[in-house]
Amino acid sequence: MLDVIAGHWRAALWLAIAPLMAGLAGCSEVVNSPHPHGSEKTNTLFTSFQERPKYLDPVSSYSNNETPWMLQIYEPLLGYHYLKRPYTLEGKTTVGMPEVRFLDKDGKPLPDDAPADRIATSVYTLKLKPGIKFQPHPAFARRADGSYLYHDLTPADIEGKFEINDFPLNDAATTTRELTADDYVYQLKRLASPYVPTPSPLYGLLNQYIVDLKGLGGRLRAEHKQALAGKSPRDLHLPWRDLRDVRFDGARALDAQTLEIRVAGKYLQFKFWMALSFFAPVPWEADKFYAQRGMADHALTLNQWPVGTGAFMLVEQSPNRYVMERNPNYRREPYPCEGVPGDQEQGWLDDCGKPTPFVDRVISTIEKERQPLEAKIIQGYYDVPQIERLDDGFKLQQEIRDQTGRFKLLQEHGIQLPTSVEPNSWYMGFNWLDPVVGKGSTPEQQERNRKLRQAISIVTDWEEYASVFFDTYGDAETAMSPVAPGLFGYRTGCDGINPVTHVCQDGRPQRRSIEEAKKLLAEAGYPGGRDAKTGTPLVMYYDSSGVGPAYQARLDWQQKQMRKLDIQLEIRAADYNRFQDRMRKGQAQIFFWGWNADYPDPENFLFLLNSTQSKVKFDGENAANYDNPEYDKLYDEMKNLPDGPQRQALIDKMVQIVQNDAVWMFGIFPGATGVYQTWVKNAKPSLILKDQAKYLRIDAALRAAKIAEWNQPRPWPIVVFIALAALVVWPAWRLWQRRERTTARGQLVEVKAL
Amino acid sequence: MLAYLARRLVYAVLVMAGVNLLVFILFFTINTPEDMARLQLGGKRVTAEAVERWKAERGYDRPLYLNMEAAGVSKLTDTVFVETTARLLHFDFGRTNEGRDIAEEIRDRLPISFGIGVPVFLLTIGVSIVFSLGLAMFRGTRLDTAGVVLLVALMSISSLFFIIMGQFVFSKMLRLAPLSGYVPGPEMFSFVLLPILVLVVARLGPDARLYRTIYLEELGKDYVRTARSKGLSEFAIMFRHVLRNSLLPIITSSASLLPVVFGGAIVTETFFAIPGLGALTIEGITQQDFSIVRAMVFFGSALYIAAYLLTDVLYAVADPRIRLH
Repeated sequence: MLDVIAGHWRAALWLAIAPLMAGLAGCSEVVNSPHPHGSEKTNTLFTSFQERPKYLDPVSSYSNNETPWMLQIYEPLLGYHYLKRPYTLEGKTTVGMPEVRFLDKDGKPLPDDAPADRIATSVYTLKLKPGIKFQPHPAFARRADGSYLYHDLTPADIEGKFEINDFPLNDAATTTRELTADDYVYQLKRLASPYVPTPSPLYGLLNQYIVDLKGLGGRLRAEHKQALAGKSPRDLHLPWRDLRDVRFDGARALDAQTLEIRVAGKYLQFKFWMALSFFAPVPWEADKFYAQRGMADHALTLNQWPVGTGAFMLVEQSPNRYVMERNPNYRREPYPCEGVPGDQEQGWLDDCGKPTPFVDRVISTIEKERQPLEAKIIQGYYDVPQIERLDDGFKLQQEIRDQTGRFKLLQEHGIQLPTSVEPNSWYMGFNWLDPVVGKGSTPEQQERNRKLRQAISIVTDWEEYASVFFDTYGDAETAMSPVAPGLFGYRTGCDGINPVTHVCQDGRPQRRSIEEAKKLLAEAGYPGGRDAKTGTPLVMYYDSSGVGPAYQARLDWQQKQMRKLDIQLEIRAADYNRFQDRMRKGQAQIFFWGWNADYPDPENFLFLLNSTQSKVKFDGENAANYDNPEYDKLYDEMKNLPDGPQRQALIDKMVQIVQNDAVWMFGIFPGATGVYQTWVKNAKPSLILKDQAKYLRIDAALRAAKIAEWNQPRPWPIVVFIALAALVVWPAWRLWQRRERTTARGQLVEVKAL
Repeated sequence: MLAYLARRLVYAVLVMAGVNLLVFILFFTINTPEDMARLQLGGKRVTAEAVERWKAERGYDRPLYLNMEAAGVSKLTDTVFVETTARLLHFDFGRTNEGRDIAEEIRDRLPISFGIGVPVFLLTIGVSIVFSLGLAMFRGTRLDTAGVVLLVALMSISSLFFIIMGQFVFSKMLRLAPLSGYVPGPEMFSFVLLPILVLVVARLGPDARLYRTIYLEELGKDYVRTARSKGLSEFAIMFRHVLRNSLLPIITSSASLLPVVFGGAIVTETFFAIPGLGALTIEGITQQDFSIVRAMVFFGSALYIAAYLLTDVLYAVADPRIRLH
């Protein structure tokens, strides 16, 4: 065969190349799409995720990266208005906000303005909207006679089944039911239940507030321990524990639509927790369905296949792709008609009153690396890079601002980069337990340490930090206090400056001079960065959780700040686990950490400095282990007050205390910039709101047209390469033919002559 | 032959036991069960009780190597090491930290890694052989020199560079292939073409250079001179005689590719977001999931042992003079 080809090589060559060249030349269809062919024309929202969600069970899910699914599928009792700012809570599955009554220790009602110390119990009564239905799910599948299709499965029945779609619903007479108040009670019981395979990170907090939650946890743990006694470690499966009949004084259903929750004392922030997925309903049918033997072995649990009443339901998941589809039983809540000034101009009120969700499907694809994610945004293949994050746009924003890089492309593509103010912060803390920078053991030492902290706080130029690291933090603002912008208690302008580090000049904050810092340093006992008594240089230790070349610039910057005072800063960089370990043991001296608000209330930031939250003593969130009785007293008063002048006054005092103590350098409040393609409508960025997908509308026709325009294949270099390769192959072929016809003596012999 | 195979299998068991112990020691030297728990439970409001419960549910609440609180043999057996190793003997890889069955994950991902590994394996060997034979045919000419320079250049460049350049050139500039991602079914071809091309190009340098050296050595032997004097064409000499006699080192070098076929190309799958076994390995490492890491190391070492055993058998097939005892 090779001889035949060799004899007709010209024809063979053209036969091989011509179809390829014709194909390449005629290639006009988009071929670099990472999505299934033609899907850009469908009513689908394309987005990405960096890491697979670990937990999708409302008991356990608490990571930010899980929220794109959690709050599209589950519906907690309350939620935030999509457009109103400051963030405004409203009923999600409830009719309005809860009614709150206060009771004294004898159960007698108290007036609304009763002092907090008299209130023994707060009773929250919530009325559910009627007609809310769960998504179709095998857990609800019932035959015409009312018996459940999938509640008595054996491991053999589950053999070969690894997805929820492996349980067909065709033979079921019903596949759903209406939401009731009992479903919320059931979920609250699950928070305390050891029968739930994955623990709840909020159990420890909520059992301090929800009446009898701790007691319930204790009772169930004892029962669970007894049930496990004598079981082989290889087989710890227990039959489903029906929590419906378990006594629980903390929550009950007064009727099918009315829920009552009892909270110990007065805890105004409780309403915010009711907007998180921990307060989503879980039907007992789903709990029973997933508790069957064999289900967990096949990854069929609530952690993988949630069951909710939300706008979407999870229909497909694989290591690199999650697909949610419109929940056919969703009640089609209307798009809001109110917003804030500016929303109308942005077009965010154009869909007023229309039923949500607007998209049929949400496809999330894994993107572990930054560069492919940015490239696909430019190519148009992601409508929004990540729903739950607002830091993907900083680099693009910088390019537009500086008119460098891809700014022309970004402008031509019309990519939207709306900004917002979000409650999160990055701060640098001093360990209160450290002998050099901490509280100090004597009044003299306390004063010296305080001045040292103040000196360092002055020279650390956070304005410069925000500017230099724009691609990481966006339009960050220098923080003057722990309270984030957009929250009650936050002060702006000269009213809000930190007087330790700044002065007000011409109505604007101006950082104090290095000379003032040096003076403070000398008063602290370290003139010129040396111990006044021994003359040894002052060496400080900075614990960083960032490692790698990308982080080095920030570490270098920190050292540069310290050098302004001739202080040596030793970096102790470690991975996040090691860093957390050191923080828990109180071994860090200076550290850098951040906080994303759980809810938009100043208490959620001020509690980070409360002594009962000490990381070392109580494994809490007070990473600096700050301990100030006066601050704690003010905190206890402040947290029980509604927003108003009294609360503001307390917050101002607390802020003054921590500013003076300089336990934190308050760092920065990072910017927040959403990234949305030009065909994405109603794109108002938010870090607090997590069910954004149902409000977004896609112009699929525009998207398909733009993607086709931006991604036309360019095959001509391949054609040129093939031509160049042919230029190399031709002389090689000629050379080979010569060699074949040359004798040992170097004479060329014509083949015909042989 | 059978005695040889039996002996190799015994060695294989010993090797696997050693690998298992080494992986365990290395993993738990760097990561403690507490670290693993905290990574899984997240950064906020993680209580000591939640950590202990997580560890207890997965059997990490026991000592790693020696349980001084137990009596008798239980001192050794009631430990994380023995408990996890015992499961391995039943080929029970356990579950990931999130509760997914690892054996099922391997079953799901193996065909995906196959879809890249098998073409890479076949193409790498084929292209390297043909290219190096071509260079050997044109030995001493400028073509040969240019070819060798190209191969050395390819050898010197990191495979990571090929991946990034491949994505830049073919996806961003020419728009001929998706940047990354994977869609199952018939559409998968467009997603695996670029990773396959990148892997083949990355292997071409070292492999073709080695094969060229082997061919040049063979070309100096008497049987080649005899074949030429009998009037055989250069093509027939290279492909029918020289290639056959060069098979042993080619088989040896190709054996190292087999684990990539089955075990996945870790870096490639990560950069191209291909959900194969390589990506699972990375996931296990970054998530500090000991079960995944151990399962993939077990799988990988079994593959290497099988690959080299196959190599030995193929030696006997390729060269009748070789006998395995």
